[in-house]
Amino acid sequence: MQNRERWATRIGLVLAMAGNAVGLGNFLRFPVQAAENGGGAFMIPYLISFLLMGIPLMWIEWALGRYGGVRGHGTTPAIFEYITRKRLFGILGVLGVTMPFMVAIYYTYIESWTLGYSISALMGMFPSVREALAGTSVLEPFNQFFQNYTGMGGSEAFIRPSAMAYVFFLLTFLINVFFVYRGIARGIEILAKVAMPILLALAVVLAVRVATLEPISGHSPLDGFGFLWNPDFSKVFDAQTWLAAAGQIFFTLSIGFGTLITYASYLSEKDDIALGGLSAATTNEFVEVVLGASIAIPAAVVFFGIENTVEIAKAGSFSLGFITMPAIFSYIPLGNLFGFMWFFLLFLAGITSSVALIQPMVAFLEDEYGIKRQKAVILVAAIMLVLMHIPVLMNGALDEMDYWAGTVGLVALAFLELFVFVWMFGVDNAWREINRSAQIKIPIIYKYIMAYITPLFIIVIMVSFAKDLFIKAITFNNPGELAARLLMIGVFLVLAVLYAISRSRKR
Amino acid sequence: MTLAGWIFMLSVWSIVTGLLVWTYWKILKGENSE
Repeated sequence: MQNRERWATRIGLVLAMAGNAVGLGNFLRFPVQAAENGGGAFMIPYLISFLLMGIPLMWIEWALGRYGGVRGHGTTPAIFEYITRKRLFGILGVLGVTMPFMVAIYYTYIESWTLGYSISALMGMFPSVREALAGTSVLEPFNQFFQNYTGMGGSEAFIRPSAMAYVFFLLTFLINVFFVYRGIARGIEILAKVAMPILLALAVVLAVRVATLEPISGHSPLDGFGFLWNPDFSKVFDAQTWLAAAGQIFFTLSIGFGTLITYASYLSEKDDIALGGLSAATTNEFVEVVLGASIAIPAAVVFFGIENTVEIAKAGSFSLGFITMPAIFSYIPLGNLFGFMWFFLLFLAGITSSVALIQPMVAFLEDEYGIKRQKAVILVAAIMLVLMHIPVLMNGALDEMDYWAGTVGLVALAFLELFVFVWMFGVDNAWREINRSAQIKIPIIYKYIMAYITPLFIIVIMVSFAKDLFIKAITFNNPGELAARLLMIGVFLVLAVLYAISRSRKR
Repeated sequence: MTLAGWIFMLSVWSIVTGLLVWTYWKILKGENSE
């Protein structure tokens, strides 16, 4: 067993874990979900899901990672097999390497838009707005700018991103590779220690700017906050609200991606995980609920009014972040600077997540094949660079990968983790492992929540997916979707074979 | 913004911020005592 890397400081570890969780979704997905599902009332199922599902799964992933790392394994295949002594679970655990890798492939591309847009804002490249932002028709030039930049929006099989999008895609990819190449303490931890405070500062400045906007469409920033927070209690008893809230907790905490496990594998047995896990989860919640909710949606309400903001929210996160926000920044004084801050903030949120998504594949090659980190990173980067061209160039591939790897897959992996760690390892063993070297005392009720309530949450989410999943599985609309599926299946099979070979070699 | 909206917003912000401060305080206290 080769010596595994270690985090240099606890704060660095917590910031890296929080950076992994804080992503574009905190600023774009959360406010849209809250606004569409009952505003303040959405926070009731959201907080309950956080306490009963998010926090327990966070601790489970940290504990699985530390348990595996102490034994020389930083990814789920070997950790699952070590715990269950069954090869089947090792093979199923390959999901925990496949999924973060697949998500990294398309997420890094989206992240590159934020870097490209931040420079576009700074250089004043966005369309300018001369008239008052009275209606959403003013968004059309910005929609066109987005389509020209990404090449998306048409119905052809292949898309052609702009030269700028392609250059920034390569640049973003290289920046990611640079930090992963430098390693855990010298690369990822330093990135988190620098990026997270800057991200927080930018978010605070933007939130203050939004809160002090003059009313434009007859609406003040307070109306924007009201749109997000005024509770619609009829939604509390709506199953859809609960599903949306539980789903948001999954995405926002980066549960079920396999990334938390790999990060936690660089802990020693003497390191606390109870306080660290809670702290990372809380940092993410602060960024999401306090800062993420105070920028895009309130600004949209001020400029476009409530009815138009409902339409903007329905059009999705990309529309809010990449079309509506540039229009707003084009209108306000120092808009170029604030636009740069907004997109650079998203870039920092993205990169602290994407390095975490790349790391499990690197750890898999290091731990199971004894490949040195630098060589493993170069190998992973080379494969990634080739495969990333599928979502960059093929229509529908990005959404398809997001559905299977970034939505369905993570719920499945989370259930598998819970099944292996709590049920197969045993509730008492799991509880002992989580509390080993703990700096805080976790209430004993969480032992039972992990065993019974958390799995119930996940099962309900999985059942809610069932109908869509079946329809999705038997249909595809374009070659991009087919290519994405074949890619995901192919990567899984190759990794499963690689894993099986590594086990037979070690025997 | 309604009174209920204010109550929801400030309650959630207080819980999250309070938990954040408490966890970082515990971590920093632990690091200093090592």
